[in-house]
Amino acid sequence: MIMASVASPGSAKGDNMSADYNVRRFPSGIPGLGKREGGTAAFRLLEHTADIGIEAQAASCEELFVQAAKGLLAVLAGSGETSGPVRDITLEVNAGDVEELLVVWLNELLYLIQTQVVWPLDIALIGMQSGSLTARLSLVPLSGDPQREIKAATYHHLLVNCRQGFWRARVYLDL
Amino acid sequence: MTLKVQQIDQCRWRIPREGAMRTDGLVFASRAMMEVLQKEQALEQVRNVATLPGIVGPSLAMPDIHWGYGFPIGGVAAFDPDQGVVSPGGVGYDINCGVRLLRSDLEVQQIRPHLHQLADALFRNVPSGVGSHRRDLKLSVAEERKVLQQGARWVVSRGMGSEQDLQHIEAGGRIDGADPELLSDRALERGRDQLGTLGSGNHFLEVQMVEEIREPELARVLGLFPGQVTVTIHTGSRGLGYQVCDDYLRIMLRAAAKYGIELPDRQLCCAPLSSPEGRQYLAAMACAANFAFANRQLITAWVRESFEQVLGQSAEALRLSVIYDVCHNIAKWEHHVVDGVRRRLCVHRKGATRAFPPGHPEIPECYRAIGQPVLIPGDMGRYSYVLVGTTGAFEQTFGSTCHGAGRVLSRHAAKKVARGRNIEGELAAQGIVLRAAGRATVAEEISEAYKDVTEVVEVVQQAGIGRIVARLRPLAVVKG
Repeated sequence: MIMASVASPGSAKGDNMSADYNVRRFPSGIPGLGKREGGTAAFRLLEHTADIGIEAQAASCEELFVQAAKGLLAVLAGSGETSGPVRDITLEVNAGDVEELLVVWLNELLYLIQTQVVWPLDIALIGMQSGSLTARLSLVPLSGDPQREIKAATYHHLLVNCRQGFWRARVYLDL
Repeated sequence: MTLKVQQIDQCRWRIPREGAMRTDGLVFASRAMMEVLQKEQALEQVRNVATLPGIVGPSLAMPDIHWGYGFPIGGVAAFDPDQGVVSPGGVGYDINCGVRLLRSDLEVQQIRPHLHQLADALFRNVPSGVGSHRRDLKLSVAEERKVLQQGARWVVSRGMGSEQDLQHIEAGGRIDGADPELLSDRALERGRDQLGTLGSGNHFLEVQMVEEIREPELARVLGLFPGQVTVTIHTGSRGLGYQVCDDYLRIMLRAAAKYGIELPDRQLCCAPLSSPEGRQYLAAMACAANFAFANRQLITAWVRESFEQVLGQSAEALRLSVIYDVCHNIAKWEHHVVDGVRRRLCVHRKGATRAFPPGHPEIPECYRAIGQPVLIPGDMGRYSYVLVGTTGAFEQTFGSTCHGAGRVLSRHAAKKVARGRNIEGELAAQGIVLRAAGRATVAEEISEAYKDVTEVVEVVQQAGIGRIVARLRPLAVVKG
């Protein structure tokens, strides 16, 4: 039941899931980004009348993107089980700016999960520029369905910013 | 931000033009609905849509309005072909999400003894749930392209349905101008094994009975009678549509910058209708819309198959036929009269249903005297409605009306309300059989999560943007 450990039912209450997730951190590739001092990396789920949002915070932009990915997995996670060989892949994502990059990144993960029926056991960002990122994912086959279908991460009220070295993101998902 | 809202009458509210708005907002809602709306962000979204270039008439919201992305759910906006824009966010990810209603000659007492079997057969034959697909249907690339161009007609050409089915679908089950070359490989990949699937979330398949007829003469024309068994299918273009929307949002983000369009919300990104980007989106959107028409046509074939398996009679003998099929997430070219001048406009309906009036040439001949059938699903524990379009809708809302009940509880709040309850048992006590692929969906889709759809259609009727014909009550519900 790896999915349960990745995103337990408690995630829907907006709990900090970071302790449950095996995240490797890599140095920032962006000058001025990647400061880690102060604060705790975390995400929480936001209420929306029809759908769900994710708010993430972290000390680096890379970690912020990993937290947002964990939020996505928490929304998806359900009774599915993972089994079979773990496969590592490298993913490159490009966008016009860092906000768009967040949406494209999450939609790339959704595409992988939905079309290849896999679950990411491990997500590591190994390179990042303001409009691109490179991630290494460890994927395992998924048997059973996620609890929800997410149509996409949207650009509605999208936010990625850094204040005093602390990163914050908000993204809404269309369910 | 506090928005200025002026009450016009019992069910109409104006958001007066100010700031970057190019026109007023016009919201159809009761006072009670407006009190709720003022606590969330949907009204701000009505105002945001009013800032888009080339908008004609007000930025509209139907009575089931709630907070969406870019456009509010329940939003309608029309744009001039030369000055106006098209926005993928004004259509949504589930392009041509829509509703199809089937009628039968069966009466409720004939089906009650078979209800569990029928629910099982529907659940087995119509793939539902997050990753649903039917193992015996995998399209080749060439076949998928035909689906995208031909829509429901492709399914009928494969022996699943009739010419009569096609006549009873909005736009004949096929939107012109579809160009599969404009879809990404990803969109094609996501669609290939999802044709004929319900999906999850608020999508459903319901066996229902006609509980009440308000307009006997209109009901007769639609082929409805009290106690009759009907079937409603609510689904759309699945992963193919989601991918088309996502692909074109990225294109439109650049297009909006290129054409100097200021966006109050990036999800409203758009391009001029006259631009290559605008034309390409509409051609790609038409592909996804046609996929959705084909999806509902295939599901219809499997509904017929299920009834035949359980009742031992052919679908023809049961007279299981299509009453109508409507889109509620779409942008379409239509002709409307604005300030006495007939104009060609691109009408965006995001969670809104076309509701053309009696006599309109785009309505099937058999319904032309009464107006276009409008199908309004409620929630799984209460009821749905059948309406017809009106002249009032044509005059006030570019021939549009509501599309459903509209959520009032977030999914998290709905799960809290459902916690510790046996929802399936509660429905069973009301005589409703439930088959669901996921327990989470059932909790999130409880009746309390939605407005009472009666309140919504009563506002519609009072405002003259639809006419209530009949109320349908669920008997068996299949959820993804």
